[in-house]
Amino acid sequence: MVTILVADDDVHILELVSLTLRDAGYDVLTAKDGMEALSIAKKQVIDAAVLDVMMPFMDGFELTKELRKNIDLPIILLTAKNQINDKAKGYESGTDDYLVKPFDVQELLFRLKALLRRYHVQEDSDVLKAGNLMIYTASFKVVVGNETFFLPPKEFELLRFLVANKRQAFTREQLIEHVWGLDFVGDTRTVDVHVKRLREHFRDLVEDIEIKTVRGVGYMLEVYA
Amino acid sequence: MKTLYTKFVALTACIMVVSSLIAFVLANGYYQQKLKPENDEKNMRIAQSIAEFTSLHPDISLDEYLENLSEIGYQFYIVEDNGNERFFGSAFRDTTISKQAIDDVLAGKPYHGIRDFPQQTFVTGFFANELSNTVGVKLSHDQHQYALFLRPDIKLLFNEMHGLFGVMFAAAILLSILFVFISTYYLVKPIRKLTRATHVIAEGKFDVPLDVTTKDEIGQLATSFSYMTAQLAKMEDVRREFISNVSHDIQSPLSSIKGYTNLLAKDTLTNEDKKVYIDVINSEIQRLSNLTQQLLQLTSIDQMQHLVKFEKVDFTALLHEMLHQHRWKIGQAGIMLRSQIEDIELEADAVMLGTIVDNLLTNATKYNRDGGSIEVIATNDGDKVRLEVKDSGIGMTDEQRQQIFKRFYRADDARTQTISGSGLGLSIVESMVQLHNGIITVDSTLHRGTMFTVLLPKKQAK
Repeated sequence: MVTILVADDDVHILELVSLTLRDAGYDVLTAKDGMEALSIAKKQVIDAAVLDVMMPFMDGFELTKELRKNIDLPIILLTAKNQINDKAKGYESGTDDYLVKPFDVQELLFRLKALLRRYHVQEDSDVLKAGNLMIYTASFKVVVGNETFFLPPKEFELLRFLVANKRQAFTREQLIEHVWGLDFVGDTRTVDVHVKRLREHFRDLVEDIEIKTVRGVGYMLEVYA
Repeated sequence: MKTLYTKFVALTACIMVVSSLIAFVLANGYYQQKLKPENDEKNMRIAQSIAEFTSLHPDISLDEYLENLSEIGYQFYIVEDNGNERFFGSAFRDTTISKQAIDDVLAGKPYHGIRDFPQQTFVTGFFANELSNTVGVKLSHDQHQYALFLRPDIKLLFNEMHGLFGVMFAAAILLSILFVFISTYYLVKPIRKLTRATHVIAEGKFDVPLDVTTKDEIGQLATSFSYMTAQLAKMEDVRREFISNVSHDIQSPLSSIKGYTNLLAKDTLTNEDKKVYIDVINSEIQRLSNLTQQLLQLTSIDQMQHLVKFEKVDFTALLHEMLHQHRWKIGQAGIMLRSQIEDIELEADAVMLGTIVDNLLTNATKYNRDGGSIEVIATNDGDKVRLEVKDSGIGMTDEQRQQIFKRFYRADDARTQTISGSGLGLSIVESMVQLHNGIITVDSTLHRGTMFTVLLPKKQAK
């Protein structure tokens, strides 16, 4: 189980964040200030940290520096101010990412997941290629030539799955199972919509690859080169 | 009270005293160097002519003759070779003279006491009523030998002049002070008017007439003062309108929040209804939060007008960072984010640049459609930087396009009613672009999308 340290002096936010993270299946340790967070980090093994910048006794920047001395782990800072100074100071102290309050807890989950993935995967071993299309699975981005694309999550997952399994035909049901998960409620038309969007986005950009409709089955990614 | 009057008068008096001192020293110097020998020469000639006259007329009484001469303005001291001495005319203040000088004169060597009178900074030899300050010649009369010492009786000769000069000097000083008073009054008058005007403005009235017409520095001050007043009046109007706009924009979400919380208090609600109401409340809260944040940005531009901090900014890194911050929201909206960013550095205010990009991305997301896209292209364009933010959203009409940079303007039609916003974002962007001496243009096709193009100079004039 992945353990995440959450530190914030605002009890409501602390509760909100830890509830969300627990719901998402993480093990959560909480601290109400920087010193408490540091002492927890010394006693227990943690895999990632979500820290508020403005905390009594030791602020988020200091805490990040202290944590970085001993362990290499993903750290996300929460800042109330949308200030570039804070951002610069944050990256200087060694944080991996920051979120500006008020934030959507779902966004926090997304960033955390991306960071955890990046920490466990070698950056270059994680690139999928098809034609002139490159997919960086850890940073969720698609690169064609000198252009970078960030796709909506499901479109990205669908493209990644098709590229990872190129030249294999899948039924709509199989795609839903792999991309959306078994608990997806909705019909198979969703797959058609997403495929249509992917085709639209990349129509004039990619060479030698195509998402083909396989009559009577579903879809497959064809590579001609 | 320390008014300009007393200051000017004191200053004038000081100036007169100092210049008199300097003038005295200069005049004294001139006397010592140039006039003293001439004066000595002149008196020597007079003494010699007296000596000549007495030697030619042994029959006249020497005492009577000298007595007479002394009455027309000379002082005499006469010593016979046997030691008898006499004074004629006004008394000398100091009657010491060296024995040597007397012996020299009796031996026929003239005495140049005026010429050799010691030079002192604050003493003019001309007025020194001393026996040593005389000229001396040998005088023979009726078989007797005398030493004659003489100097003009300055006091007698110039007594009236003293009074004349005294009156002149005193009158000059008094009149100067009087005129300084009068001229100061005219000088200070416009300043008083300005002071009164500031009091009026401080009370919040901006229609102060200022009839200061002089062309000097004070006139210029009055002109810029009037200009400032006009600007303040204009700003005050803007501020009033602004506050009324803001109040309206804060009031309306608040009243809808109030309405929906009242609805929530009912017991008979279905869960779906509750969810709908809570969503409405949340979106109104979000709207308020955005509004306050943008108001903050707006005041900070107004304040920072003169505090823009230009520094070298890695625009590429800044754009990547902004895209990173926005990608989740963009993805959630079902929109693809496409970017093409060259390596760019420019001189800019990093905070403002971030706000510009942030607002443009927020707009491109808000006024977009599910399945749409946003394209961000940043290129080097000679000595400029070109940033294009293009969305495949709802677009706008020409009339709307012309209004969008106005504060609080919001396209108000069926398509935009569901989108929350304050109408401040683009106005902020425009102000910040202008602070960077850049330009922002907009291209839009209804139902097809909008493209904002920002051109910023890479170097800012120092």
